[in-house]
Amino acid sequence: MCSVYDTVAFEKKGIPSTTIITTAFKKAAEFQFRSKGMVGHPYVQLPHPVSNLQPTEMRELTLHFVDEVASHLKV
Amino acid sequence: MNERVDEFEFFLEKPWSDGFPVVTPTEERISRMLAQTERDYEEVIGLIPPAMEIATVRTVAVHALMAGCRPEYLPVVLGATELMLREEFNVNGVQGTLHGVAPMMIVNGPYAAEIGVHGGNGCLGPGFRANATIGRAIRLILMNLGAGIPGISSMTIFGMPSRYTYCLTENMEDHPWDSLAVSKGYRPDENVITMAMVESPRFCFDDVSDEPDRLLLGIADTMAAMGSWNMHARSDMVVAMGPQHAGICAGAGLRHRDVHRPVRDRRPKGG
Repeated sequence: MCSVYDTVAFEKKGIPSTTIITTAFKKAAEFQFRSKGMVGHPYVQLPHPVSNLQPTEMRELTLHFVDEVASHLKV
Repeated sequence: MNERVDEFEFFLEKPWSDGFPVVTPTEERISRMLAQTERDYEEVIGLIPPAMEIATVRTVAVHALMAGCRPEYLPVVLGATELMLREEFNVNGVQGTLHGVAPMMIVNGPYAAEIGVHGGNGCLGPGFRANATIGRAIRLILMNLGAGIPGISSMTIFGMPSRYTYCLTENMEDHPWDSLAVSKGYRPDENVITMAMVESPRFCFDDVSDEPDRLLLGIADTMAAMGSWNMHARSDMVVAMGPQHAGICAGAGLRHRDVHRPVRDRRPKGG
């Protein structure tokens, strides 16, 4: 949830930013974007949980989503 | 309020309560509450995540009133609100987590006794107004100013009973050592709130041990139980001993830190 605030802070400075969450936090993230007046700001949802992933599994998952992250950062 | 509006239903339906009726915050009652502080009523205490609404002395007082606090509890509620907003507590994470972690407050010093914060039998509740309402005020602030609403901005799976209220003091009558605050370097005449973001209490039932080693092993094992957050990631924990267990340790010549160290250092199961 803290990463939403980071995204907001970056965007306010004109730096493209997105937030990466797991699916369990979808409602919380959308609430926080809404409370900051950024309804519809793009974010990335990873399948929940990730805390049980080994480093190699996390890397593989990250590679799967990297294009989506990059697409959110286009100026 | 007009005669057709039930004041209790009004607040319950908003929803501006924790599920229990709140004390209606009339201007008269708010004024009486605010009379207990010399602080500027519009002084900003902080922003309550995740909604980041502003907590002022006045809005904290309103929530203390709604929680059922007596006016003399307000300084503690103000202090606790300021304390929980410290960066190290990550209240934003505490508000949004899947877990049910809640702010636990231990109030030390003469003021705790003066206003009736209870540390004896049943101190974790129910039954004691100061304990119940001070903790409740913090929860109402987290819900109403922070919008920590389950299913909306809070992803807590189950919540936790300790999210209703989690406030107590120590039983200094039967305490074999210095208070928590004194052990941290404060003077006995200083009023201190210690806070930790912790799970609901997990009992270590031991009515058998008559020496510390076995007792402390059981406590350490409870702290490292499978399924506890402490087994998943390092976490803040509070060990509260009743007079019987504290007496076993003190009777064997152990001081406070002699108890703290072995409990902290014992390895969890499996190494």
